[in-house]
Amino acid sequence: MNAVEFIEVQKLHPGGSVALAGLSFSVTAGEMVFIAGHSGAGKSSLLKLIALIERASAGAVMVNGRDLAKLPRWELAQHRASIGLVFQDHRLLMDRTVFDNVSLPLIVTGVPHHEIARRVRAALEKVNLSHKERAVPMALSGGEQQRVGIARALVGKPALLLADEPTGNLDPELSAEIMQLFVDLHRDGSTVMVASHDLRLIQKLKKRVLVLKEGSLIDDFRPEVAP
Amino acid sequence: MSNQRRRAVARSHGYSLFSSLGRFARAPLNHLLTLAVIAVALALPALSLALLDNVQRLGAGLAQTGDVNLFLRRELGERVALDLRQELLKDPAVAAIVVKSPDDALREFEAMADFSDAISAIDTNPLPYVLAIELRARASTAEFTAPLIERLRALEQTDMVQFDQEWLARLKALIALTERGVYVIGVLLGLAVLLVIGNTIRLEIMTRRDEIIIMKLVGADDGFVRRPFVYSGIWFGLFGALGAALLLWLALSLLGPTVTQLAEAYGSNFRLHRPGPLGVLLLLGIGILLGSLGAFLASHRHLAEAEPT
Repeated sequence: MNAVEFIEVQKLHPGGSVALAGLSFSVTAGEMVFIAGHSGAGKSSLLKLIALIERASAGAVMVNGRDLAKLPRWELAQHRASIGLVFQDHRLLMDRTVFDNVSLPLIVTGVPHHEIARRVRAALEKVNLSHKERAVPMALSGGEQQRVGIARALVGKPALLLADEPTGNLDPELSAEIMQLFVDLHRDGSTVMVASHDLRLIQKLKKRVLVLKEGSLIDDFRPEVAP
Repeated sequence: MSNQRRRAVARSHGYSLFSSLGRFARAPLNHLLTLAVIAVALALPALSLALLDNVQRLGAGLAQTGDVNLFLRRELGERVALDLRQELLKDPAVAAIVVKSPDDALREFEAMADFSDAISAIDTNPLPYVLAIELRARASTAEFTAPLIERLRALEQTDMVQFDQEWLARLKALIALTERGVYVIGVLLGLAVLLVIGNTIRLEIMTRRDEIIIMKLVGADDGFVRRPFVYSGIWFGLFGALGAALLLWLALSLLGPTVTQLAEAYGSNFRLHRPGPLGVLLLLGIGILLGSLGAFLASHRHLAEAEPT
């Protein structure tokens, strides 16, 4: 079954410039896919359409077999709660503790308190931040902040994890560490889509890569089978 | 709604209730000015209504003290007074008649501080028998009272008829007009409270815009995002109303002794009446209603503008 499917998807920016030009591809459930391309290639737009942060101008975006264009507004929150989102700028609540940040997706979906504590600690353990539970994000390094963002994305046990340039501001060593985290999450059974401009780092992980250029798909390959 | 969903909504309400209260408790001084404005805006109509209620009680008291006083000729005695009472009780406009003897009247005068010295200087009681006639409620209009007053004046036993109904009717009309004015001012000040709370919530939404966007990104629905702001509005309304109740109590406490003094100077035992627990609860209820409504309208309008991009 396809976790994500794009059928001739077009996205125009308000000014009329093309973000995505008739994009078609599919990602099967449990697959890990990197979306590569230079800045402005349409990587972020693609992920935003899946998370319904933006809507397609034409074509169909299908998630778990549902056309997102037909999703009623009242189901929008439920759709987003079913997706784990990781951002380049982390988007953390800077005045709250690491624990509070990671627990947010569970609080908004009404998970019981005892369950929240257990799952937040498990998520922090997965990203090696158990010892920073009471720290505020301001006191953490960029890499640690990103790991908090990843813990927040995975705490709700999403079937689909989307990451937009998660290593954008990190040095190569930390970038590799973060990418490895996504690979580990994929091993646990999640469908993972990671947008990154760092093609060299992506190729080392030997997963499927979709390459975008000016809103069009110009390549779709797996490094281990690529020519 | 399934049990699980119901529990999730209850937890969400609990989270919103305590997080908004916690935000309030963390920075009470930040909200002090807003609370003061709400308290004054609620206290003004509440105080006006409390004073109006007192004037109405005073008016009702005056009306009950005897709508018509019929003074008999001095030479007439108790037998005549009692016979006339029996006769007048048959009149449909009359509800009750109290016969006051000259001795009763003298005692009443003596009880008044200003008259006691003058009365002690008199050898004989100069006061006549008086029939204090209470009119039926429906008979207190000129249409019903005029024939009765005419009849009383025409009686051979009558020395004088004292009828206070005209100025009481004017007082009632004035009270009714003032009451309407207070309601209009109350509605306007209620609107001001609504706007003050709405604007406070709007500013809070602007300050917490990033947080709202993050919440929406991780799956918070409109209700979850709106709830803490509506609860904030409820706290503003509740604490503002508590402040208003305190101001009301202070104002009435300050006015009370002066009113008592004034009433005593006129021989009345009238005391300034304070709103009871029901009145205070009503004030708190109005505060909560205005707070939640202002917050709901502001959050409904401004939360839609805080969408993830």
